[in-house]
Amino acid sequence: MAAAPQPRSPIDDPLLARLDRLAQRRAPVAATRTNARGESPSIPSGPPFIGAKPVPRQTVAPAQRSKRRHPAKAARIGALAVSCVTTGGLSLLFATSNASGAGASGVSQPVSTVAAAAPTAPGATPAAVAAAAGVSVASTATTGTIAPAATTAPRATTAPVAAAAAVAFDGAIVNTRYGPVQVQIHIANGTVTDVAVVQYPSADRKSRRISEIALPILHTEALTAQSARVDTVSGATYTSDGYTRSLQSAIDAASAAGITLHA
Amino acid sequence: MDQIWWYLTRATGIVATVLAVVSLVFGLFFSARNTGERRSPAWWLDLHNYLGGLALVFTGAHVLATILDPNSGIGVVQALIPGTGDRASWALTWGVIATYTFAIAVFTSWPKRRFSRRVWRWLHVTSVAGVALAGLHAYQLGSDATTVALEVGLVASAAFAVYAVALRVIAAAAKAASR
Repeated sequence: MAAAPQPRSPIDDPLLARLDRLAQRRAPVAATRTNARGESPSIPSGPPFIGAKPVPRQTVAPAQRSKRRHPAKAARIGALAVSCVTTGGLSLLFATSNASGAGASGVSQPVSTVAAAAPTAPGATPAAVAAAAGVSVASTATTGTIAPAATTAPRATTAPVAAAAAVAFDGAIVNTRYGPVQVQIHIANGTVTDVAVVQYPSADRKSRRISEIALPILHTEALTAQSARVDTVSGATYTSDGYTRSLQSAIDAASAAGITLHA
Repeated sequence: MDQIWWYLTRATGIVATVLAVVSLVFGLFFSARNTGERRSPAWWLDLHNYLGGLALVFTGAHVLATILDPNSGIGVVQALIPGTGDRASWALTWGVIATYTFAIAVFTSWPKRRFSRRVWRWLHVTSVAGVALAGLHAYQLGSDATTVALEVGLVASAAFAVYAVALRVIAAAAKAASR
């Protein structure tokens, strides 16, 4: 009686050889592992795959295996180091810029440096100087002051009646944690006639409500003090801080333009 | 002294966003088989996994610093439940959702074989939306959102991510067409 023909394996010989190599490669690693009782599990050593060519047994050192597990080990360490250093550096930068009152990330530079660099003809009026510098000049014919909290467009803010045309100077944009604050001062005859709020924290209802309460107080205080030495409004610490810093930069811009305030 | 939490919140937020974008781009390059010849695909995948985890760690640090900041007005509830913030509710919500998508992407990668490939892929792809939401969160709520450096950085990151997504989509379309 003839024996039944052995069914041919559906797997190609090269693939079988690869599978055999893989099984042999895994064997030493599995042998090094221990179970919960500290015993090495026995490895079933079955017959080699049918049709597989004999392959010399390869042993893989644990060090080589761990290298393969993290091919980007150096890059990982580098990424971690860069991330930590960047976090520390940014924190330091924020602290420094906040302490100095101006910086790359915390406070922007003044929007307009105003008439400091503008050519001034002898006898030129402040309005002409301002026009040359590209800043707005408030009309002298209008009266009344728009409430700072409601002011969104600085150019719409008008100065009170003054003998001479008021010159406007934009303060720096001061970024507070609740949003940017920027003021614009109007100066006529060496007196700050108006402080308009260009930007203020208004991202949400709470910030808007705080700004609506604090900004009119700060406005009144600034006009009374004729300087940036105004008291912080309770409950609006950051807005007050941004307001005074922006106000100070606007006054500095006016001083740079040769305008002296009468304290 | 309490300002330190604010500085840490800002710094960790920026670093976490950058890490998330880089991890996303590495993952998309890997899945699009666009890894070049200099490094092996395993290297890209390894770094993608690691950067994703690191992004989640820094996001956690960002959330923790925000909660610890006495002036932030954000507590545990606002940081964990979307839509509960008093201030800038939407912007905060994007950040909370982005955190969850990062967490889902990272924590489902470890027991990846327990999910079907289809489910895992959908869970993983949500992190793409998470990165976009993180960018939106930074733009709307970030203290440095009005600075030129951050605006340029956000635009560059978005362009980088869109480029990687486009490569991945093109690779998928080419694969589908070849079938």
